[in-house]
Amino acid sequence: MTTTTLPACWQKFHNALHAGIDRIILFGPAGTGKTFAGLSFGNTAGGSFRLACTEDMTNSEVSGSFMPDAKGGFSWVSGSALKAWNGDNTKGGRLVVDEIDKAGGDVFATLLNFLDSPESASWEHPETGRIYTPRSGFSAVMTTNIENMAELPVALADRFPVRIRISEPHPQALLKLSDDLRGMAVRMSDAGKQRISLRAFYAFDKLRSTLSIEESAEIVFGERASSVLEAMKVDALR
Amino acid sequence: MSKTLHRPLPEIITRPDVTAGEWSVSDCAPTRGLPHTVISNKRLVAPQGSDPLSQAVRAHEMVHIKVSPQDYTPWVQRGHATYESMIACEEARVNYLATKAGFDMKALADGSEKEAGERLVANEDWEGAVRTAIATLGSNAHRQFITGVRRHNKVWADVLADIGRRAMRELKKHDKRRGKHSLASTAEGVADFTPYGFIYTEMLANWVDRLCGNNPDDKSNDGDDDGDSDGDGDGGESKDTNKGKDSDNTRDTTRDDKKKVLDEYKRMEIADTPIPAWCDLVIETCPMPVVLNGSMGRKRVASNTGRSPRRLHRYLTDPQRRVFDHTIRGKGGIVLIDCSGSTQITKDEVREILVNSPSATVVVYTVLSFTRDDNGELPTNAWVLAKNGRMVEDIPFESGAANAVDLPAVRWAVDNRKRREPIIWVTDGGVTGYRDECHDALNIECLEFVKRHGIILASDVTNAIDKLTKLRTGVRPTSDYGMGFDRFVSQVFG
Repeated sequence: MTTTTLPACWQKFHNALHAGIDRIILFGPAGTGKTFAGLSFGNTAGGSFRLACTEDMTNSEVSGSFMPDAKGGFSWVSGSALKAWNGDNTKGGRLVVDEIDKAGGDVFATLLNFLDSPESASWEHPETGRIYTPRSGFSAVMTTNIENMAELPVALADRFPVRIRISEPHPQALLKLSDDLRGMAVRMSDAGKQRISLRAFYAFDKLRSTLSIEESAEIVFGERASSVLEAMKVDALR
Repeated sequence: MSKTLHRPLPEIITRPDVTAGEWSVSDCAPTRGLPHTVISNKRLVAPQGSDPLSQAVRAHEMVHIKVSPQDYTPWVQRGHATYESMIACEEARVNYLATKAGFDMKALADGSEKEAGERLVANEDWEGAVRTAIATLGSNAHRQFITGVRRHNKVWADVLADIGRRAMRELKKHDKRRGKHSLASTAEGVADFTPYGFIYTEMLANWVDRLCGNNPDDKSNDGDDDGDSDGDGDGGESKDTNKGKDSDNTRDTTRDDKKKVLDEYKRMEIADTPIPAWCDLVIETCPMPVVLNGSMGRKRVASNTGRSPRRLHRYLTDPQRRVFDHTIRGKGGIVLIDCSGSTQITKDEVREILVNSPSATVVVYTVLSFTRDDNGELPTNAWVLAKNGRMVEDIPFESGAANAVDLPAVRWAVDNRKRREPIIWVTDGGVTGYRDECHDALNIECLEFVKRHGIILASDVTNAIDKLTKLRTGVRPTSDYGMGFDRFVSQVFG
């Protein structure tokens, strides 16, 4: 068994989950595995449910909606938030909300309700009138690429007191990469406008097993290929 | 037609002491002096063209980002090498590593090198020549520079070429090391000096500093031929400089002379292992309740000029009518004593020193502990026992322990001496660095410093008192080098 030391940002996330924090914002550069971590880490026995927010989304993806069924009628299909509240019907699940700041006004309002503290949160089913509340164990992780937490709406920020900046990919995600690329992938994940995603490194790693390194770089990094290769040669110095 | 720019990606470079983040990268011409890197500010200025010179310069700067220190200050403060020599040697290490990484560093020459070589010879700037020869190592610039030098001074050119070869051999030798101790290592180094690989630059720079202090013109017997040294600048004869018109401009040195000079340089050894740092000097002036009888080295003598006539009787008795006073000072001096176990001093010996040199300052040093207190301060490791005719009642420690501050203590003495007063250093030559580690380079550094500042060495306190007695009679005594210095005296003093 190999053990790796967790980078500080990931250690904070693990510590927060371990301490029972159930509302966490993970922010920072894209491609560092924030969503994956939200879906997988900590106690997710009740299931993990992802909600990717866009301006055009509707409340149906949050709470649910009536959808045409095979019998020619309509039946209720729960949205991600409601599913997460119910979890596995014994305990609540994990709701992972991507880019909540991109959601429109009405969706945002609905989400605020679903993400409220367990004592206040409730939702009434439009057909049955049943009042739903989050089951014990429900947790929510919000991910965003915005760097300045002051840009978050106050009501949302108030519901997520713990905010952790994830600046580099999780070591487990890096294990899929060849050893020589791991350090570079970490560096480039937080390189501002020069950022190269972990996925690009995965692709490059895969390609170079069959193609030449120059061809692989050309395909993945485009016009930056020569610069990447130059930097890789220097970084290989030991 | 627009030029295709290759923005370098310093963001990719991994090293433990530099955080991730975007760099500020700007383009510049591939001309000496323009490209530069400031690692601490994440700033890189490098040519972004695709020509071989731009590529080489870019690779050079990128290797700096990978292996060079962010801040040279702690390294300079270690005192083993000057900033200028470290910069030059770091250029050589970087060129070497860039070549190793697969870049064509031979292209690294902008055409100004020959002229630079000629100019340095014309200015008789030997230090500049040595450092430039080292800094251009691993590229075509080196050969061009040597060619420029050779046009006016064959001895310099031969010595510089030899220096270059030896430096390159050293780099290759160190490149055989692996892991934390490799030539390109960015691991944390000794006593928190980072990156570790720079220690090889420091070792080389330590040697370069010694080379800089040994101008071959001082050694060769070819006299000072001040003939017309106009290189007529046609630049087309770089290969053959031993015949034809250039030979008229070079110094006429026999083969034996050249061999002699080269042999002299070969005797200067390069440190083989990392040089331990000196410990910081923490000096304390002890209470000095004991006042010695004596003139403290000052006395009044009759003079025929002055303001207050204090010796009016001389108006009648002295043919020169010296009725005024004039104060003359004794030579004073600083007696520095290594008290590290092997050499000890007693109160009586301090008194004896003061009797022979009443205004002498007596300083002893030894490191009793390397452990820093809660404020990060080291305990006192040097004590002023006597000054201005006063001395301590007791020696402040029972027995000495480590050396570790030899050179810092000698430096302190030089910094604190007045009007070239003599400094006598009592030591057995067993100098050591931090944690009491020995290293030949430490002995050589001490001897170089002794040579530069005219310090008199004594092997023990009795020997020092003899020397003070001689000084009092106006005779400059010769140094007695302790056992620890035996091996290095000929290397430093010739």
